[in-house]
Amino acid sequence: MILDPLRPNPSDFVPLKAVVMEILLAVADRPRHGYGILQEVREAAAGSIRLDTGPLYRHLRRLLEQGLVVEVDRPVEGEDDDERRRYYALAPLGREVMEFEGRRLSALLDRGRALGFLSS
Amino acid sequence: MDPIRLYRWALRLLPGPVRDRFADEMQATFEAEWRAAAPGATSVHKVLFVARALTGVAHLAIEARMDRPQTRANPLSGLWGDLRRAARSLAREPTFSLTVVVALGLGVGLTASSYSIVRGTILRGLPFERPQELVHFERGDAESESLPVTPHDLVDWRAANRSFVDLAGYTEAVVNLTAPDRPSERVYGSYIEARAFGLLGVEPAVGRLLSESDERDGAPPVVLLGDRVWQRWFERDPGIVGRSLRINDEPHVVVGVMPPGFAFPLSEEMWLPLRLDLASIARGEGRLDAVGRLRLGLGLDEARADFARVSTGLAEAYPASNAGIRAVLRAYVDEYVDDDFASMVWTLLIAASLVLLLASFNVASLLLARGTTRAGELAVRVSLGAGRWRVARHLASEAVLLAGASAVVGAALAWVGVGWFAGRGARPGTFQLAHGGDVPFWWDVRLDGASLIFVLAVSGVAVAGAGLLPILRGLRANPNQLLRSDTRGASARTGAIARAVVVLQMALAVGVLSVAGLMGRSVLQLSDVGRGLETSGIAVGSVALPDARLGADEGRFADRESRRRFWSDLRRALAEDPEVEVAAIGTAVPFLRVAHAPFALPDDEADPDGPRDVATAFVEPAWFTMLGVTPLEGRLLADSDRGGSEPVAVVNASFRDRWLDGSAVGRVVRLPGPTGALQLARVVGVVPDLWVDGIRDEEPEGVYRPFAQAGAPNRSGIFDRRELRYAQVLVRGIEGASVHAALRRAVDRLAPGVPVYGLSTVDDTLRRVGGEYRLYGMYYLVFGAVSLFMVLVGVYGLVAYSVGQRRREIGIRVALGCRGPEVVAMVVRRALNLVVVGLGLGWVVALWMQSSLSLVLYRVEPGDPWVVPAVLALLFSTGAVAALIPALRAGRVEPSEAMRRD
Repeated sequence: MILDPLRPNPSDFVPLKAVVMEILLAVADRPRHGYGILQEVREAAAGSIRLDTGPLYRHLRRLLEQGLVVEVDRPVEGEDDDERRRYYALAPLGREVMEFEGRRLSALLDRGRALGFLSS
Repeated sequence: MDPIRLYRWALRLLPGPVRDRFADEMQATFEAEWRAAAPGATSVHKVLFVARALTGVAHLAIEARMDRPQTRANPLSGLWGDLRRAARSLAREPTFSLTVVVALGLGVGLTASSYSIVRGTILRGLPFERPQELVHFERGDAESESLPVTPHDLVDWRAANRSFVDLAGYTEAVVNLTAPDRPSERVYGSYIEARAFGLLGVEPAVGRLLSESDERDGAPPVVLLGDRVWQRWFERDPGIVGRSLRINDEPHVVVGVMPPGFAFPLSEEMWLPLRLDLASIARGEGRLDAVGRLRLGLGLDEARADFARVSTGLAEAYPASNAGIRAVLRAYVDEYVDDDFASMVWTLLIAASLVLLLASFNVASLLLARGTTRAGELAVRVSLGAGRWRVARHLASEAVLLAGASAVVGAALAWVGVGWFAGRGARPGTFQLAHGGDVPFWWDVRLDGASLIFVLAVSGVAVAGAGLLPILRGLRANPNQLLRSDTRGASARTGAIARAVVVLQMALAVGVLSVAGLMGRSVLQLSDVGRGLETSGIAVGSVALPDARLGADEGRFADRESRRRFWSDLRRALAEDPEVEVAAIGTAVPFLRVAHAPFALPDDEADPDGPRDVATAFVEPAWFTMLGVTPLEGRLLADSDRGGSEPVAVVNASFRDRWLDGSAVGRVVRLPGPTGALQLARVVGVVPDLWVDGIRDEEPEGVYRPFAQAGAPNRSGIFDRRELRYAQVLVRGIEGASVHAALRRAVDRLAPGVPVYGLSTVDDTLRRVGGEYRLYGMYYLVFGAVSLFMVLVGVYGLVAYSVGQRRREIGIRVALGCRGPEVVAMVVRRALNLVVVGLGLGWVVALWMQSSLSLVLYRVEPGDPWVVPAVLALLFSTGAVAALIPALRAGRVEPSEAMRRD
């Protein structure tokens, strides 16, 4: 990765809020629409993170502005017919940030395990 | 109520662009959620669900409205982006950021409030046009520089001088203000020539100024009011002009009111025309003050030369009265605010600046330490092309934010400090200035725009100074060197700088704390005042019989006999009052400065204008017994010491030691008699020193004479009938009595319309004197505490940092058998070496400060031997404690540290 003066540094975005990470994970493997993100987050987080519509769109709006998430065209195999739905996917910058954050958290975990208070 | 419709309606709250983009989609999502959640949910759950959804919309709407429009594709570029990034990186290290902001904020705030004080009292000056041209006049001879101006000289000066636009004379007046529906009041006023107002360049707020026609013989009596009186007595009645007031028993017509903030010459509240009737005063008699305005472009030195010429001319023309007399010219402000006060507030500012310097050093070392820690991160950026300029910009942005936050904290602190001074210091009596305890009208201590700009500027400079080094190092950083794990070179240099900073901090702290220590001791000494006296339960009130206008023979109390009778009537009235236990009339209030009168030793040449004078109080015998004073030798004054009997006096111990070689009883001295000439009086007793010079006690000698033997005319005032006009009454009442009321009653019955003023108690007076020392003491206490805090933080920071840098070395030592406590001892010892060096340097600083700064201290010498050792000990132990905490952590380092390649 090339750091150029005008490009934002992934390190500026970390640490990510837990709920933001969940949103980014939700659109990481394939594009989803808003309601789809809500469902995915609720399932995956299994109750530890609570996400409502309002906060979802607040975060989405900011992620769009920051360039971590982009809007994409509706996938051809449309899951439902609601015309109003828009689809979101992880942007390259978002991917970089996730990687950076992932590495950071992983290093923390390792050290925690080495010190004996985070179980493997 | 359909939640779907409700939600759609709520979405209209969103601002335009956001709504266009998200509303449809949000509606779709909400509908999907509702359809999934609603069936099977209880009413409560449904309501909560809808409420949460609506709140979410509101939140988004608020956020969207508060955001700036994002004009760039990448909102994180540009200046705003720099600041936001800087804010984020600072927020990630709250301890560091908070410490910097608090430290600098404290330094800036203290400096700003001290600066406001200096500015408001010394620098601002008079609120007149070209105030530097205003000069105060006195006369001087071989022994004194503060003789009053005489009316004849004033007139002659005016005619003969070539350096002044104009001169005007004025004198203080005791003004008894009477109105039918209020108790009489005594007001500070001034008899003043009408030309003074033109000289000063002021206009009235209402009506007109005094004019020369008011000064003519036979002109109707008029008065010009000050704003405060207009406010207090007449509620700013616009129809005040033309109303009549009884002033000193005589009706005066109000001609105008001066604007607020005008209280020339010092804190006067009304002005009466001054009539200079030269025919009825001899040359060399009479007492005036005079003010003049220099001609444009002339300086004080030129004026002095001019007046030397004028004085010589007068001495030749009138040798009897003017031989050896010269004119003494002083800048107006200098006359009323003496050097002691000026040096005290400047010292305050210097001390505050030192604290700021301390804070800056602290911040500098913190920034340095952080800079080294972040070196790796910065190096990566630089090496990958981020550009040194970019890095510097980031650091500069952080500096700007820190400076801004410190400025806010500093401004808040300054506001508190200034408010405290304005509140406490503005009370009359707090500062003993050249002319007493009144607050000069031109003082204006407040936190205004200029002070705030000062705050901002100082914060900026402090942060820039402190942050300069890390920024420069960031710019010059060689990325390769930084990337290598061997950073010993850079950190060694950083360490040296950090150590130097701690040494300097220590030295400064010693300086500040030693001054604080001196002030503290001063305040403690104050508790000695009043020891040995019975001060509780004694009320004090002052009574002033009205001044007669010059030449007026009528009016009550115009002649001395009627005044004498008043006082003895008053004494009798108080004695008969069942609520009064004991009362004493006198011309002295305990702990306040007593007026001086001439005296001579019997061997001196018989010269009634002899150079000696001494604090002289006329008191009744009960004055001493009320306060519980017992004689050291001989006896106290007694009732048998009456008007017609032998003149006697009681002296205090200082007088005996200075003038009577330690033995006083039976000796004679010369004191003013009924005609003013000095006559023999026998000393019958010696009492302990009773603070006749207030608490400053520079001239502690004093003489007490029987009140019954008072009445010698003194050369006071242009009015020659001042004797026996004022007295203070000390009253102790029976349990639960209101003695102030009793006093008023008695005076009212004997002399209606004569005010009783200055009502308080001896205890109150005791509390108020020394207010000045306590005020300064408070400031220095804060300075000292802040300095101590800075030292604590500074030493802790340094030791923590160096322990962090040397983890590997410590790990190696532990691996080689060094034990925990030994490590701790080693770390602490290294730190204390540094502390000791700093203290040594500080000792020199303290010596320099004590000798060069003139402080107003109470009964403490600047070279007090206790303070500096105490300060050194305090700082040494502070340094030890500060070093101990990280040292203990060092003691727990494991040998595995040696293996880490950080």
